[in-house]
Amino acid sequence: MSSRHPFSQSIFENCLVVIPIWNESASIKTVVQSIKEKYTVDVLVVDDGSTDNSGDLAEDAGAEVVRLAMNMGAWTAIQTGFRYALLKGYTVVVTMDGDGQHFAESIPLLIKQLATNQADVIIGSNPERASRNRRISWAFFRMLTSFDLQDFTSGLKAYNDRAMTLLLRPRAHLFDYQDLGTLLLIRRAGLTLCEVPVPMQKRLYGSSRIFFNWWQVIRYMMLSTVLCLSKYRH
Amino acid sequence: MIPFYNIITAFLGVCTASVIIVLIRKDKLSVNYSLWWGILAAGLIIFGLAPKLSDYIGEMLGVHYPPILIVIISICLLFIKLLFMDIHRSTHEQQIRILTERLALYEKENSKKCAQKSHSSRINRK
Repeated sequence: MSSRHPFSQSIFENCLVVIPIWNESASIKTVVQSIKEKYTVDVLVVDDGSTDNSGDLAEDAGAEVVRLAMNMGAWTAIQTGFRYALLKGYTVVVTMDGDGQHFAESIPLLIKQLATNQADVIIGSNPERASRNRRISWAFFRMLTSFDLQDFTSGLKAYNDRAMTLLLRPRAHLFDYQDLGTLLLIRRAGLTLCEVPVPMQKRLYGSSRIFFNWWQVIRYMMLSTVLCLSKYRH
Repeated sequence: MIPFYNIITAFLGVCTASVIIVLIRKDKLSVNYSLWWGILAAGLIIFGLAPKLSDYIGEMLGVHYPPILIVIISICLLFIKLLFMDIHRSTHEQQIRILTERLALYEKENSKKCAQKSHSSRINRK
């Protein structure tokens, strides 16, 4: 643990960092090393059917790696992380992206907020990183869902065991991302959500895996709108 | 005398029923779906052999052009069937995802145990 950081090692007890990846060989080693160099915390990389050597690179960097038999999507990879965490006795999971957007320093911040706010889920928020169009779409979803959140698509989140158990139920297995659908489910179950501002940077390599062309953006908007409308005041 | 085209319809109904039975026999179709297709085949046979039945039912329901009743009922049934198929597919998707997650964890545990076994057998040999 770095002496520069004000957090004691004890906050990482029973904490697991889960990083879902799909073909992130260009950045995953850097991401895992940046965590391992700063903190003594367990890191689990869930390889979502990568066709490159992302999983091997993550293992070399010191992470535990679980490999899905086929590409199932980021949310299934995260749920695999939840399953692993509960099986091994972890009570807190922090999810991060494997593309280098998130800083390792945000991990203890989220864990501390989980305890301070007595929340079940903490969202690491950075609306400044979003384009104008994305911010407009978030405002639209804010209106539909009555969520008072600034960042709907952040992959940096902390979950406690109550939230993980909820999100492993069969009904949580039809979502594709850890965004609107999961947030609505969490709210419906009466769990507490909090948002915390964190710094983020642009992804180190490549482009978005979700919004990689306009058809995907339109499809995402339409499906998310239907989801919000079907679960209005849910 | 039953018109020829009605005999054809009834024949199609018999063929449908036969195909369903053969598919079940060869384990290509689950018997759970046989009821739906059996009703379809029965409908083809009944309306094939008794075409006036659609006129009678149509008049009872106030349908101005009774033959369209069969078409409308068929389309409605197809919509319902498609909806049920999507519901079942969604359930299967849930199950596949859960299985994939659990499989990944079992494979990891298994590879760990294999590595431990080969490590201890190497030590024993020394």
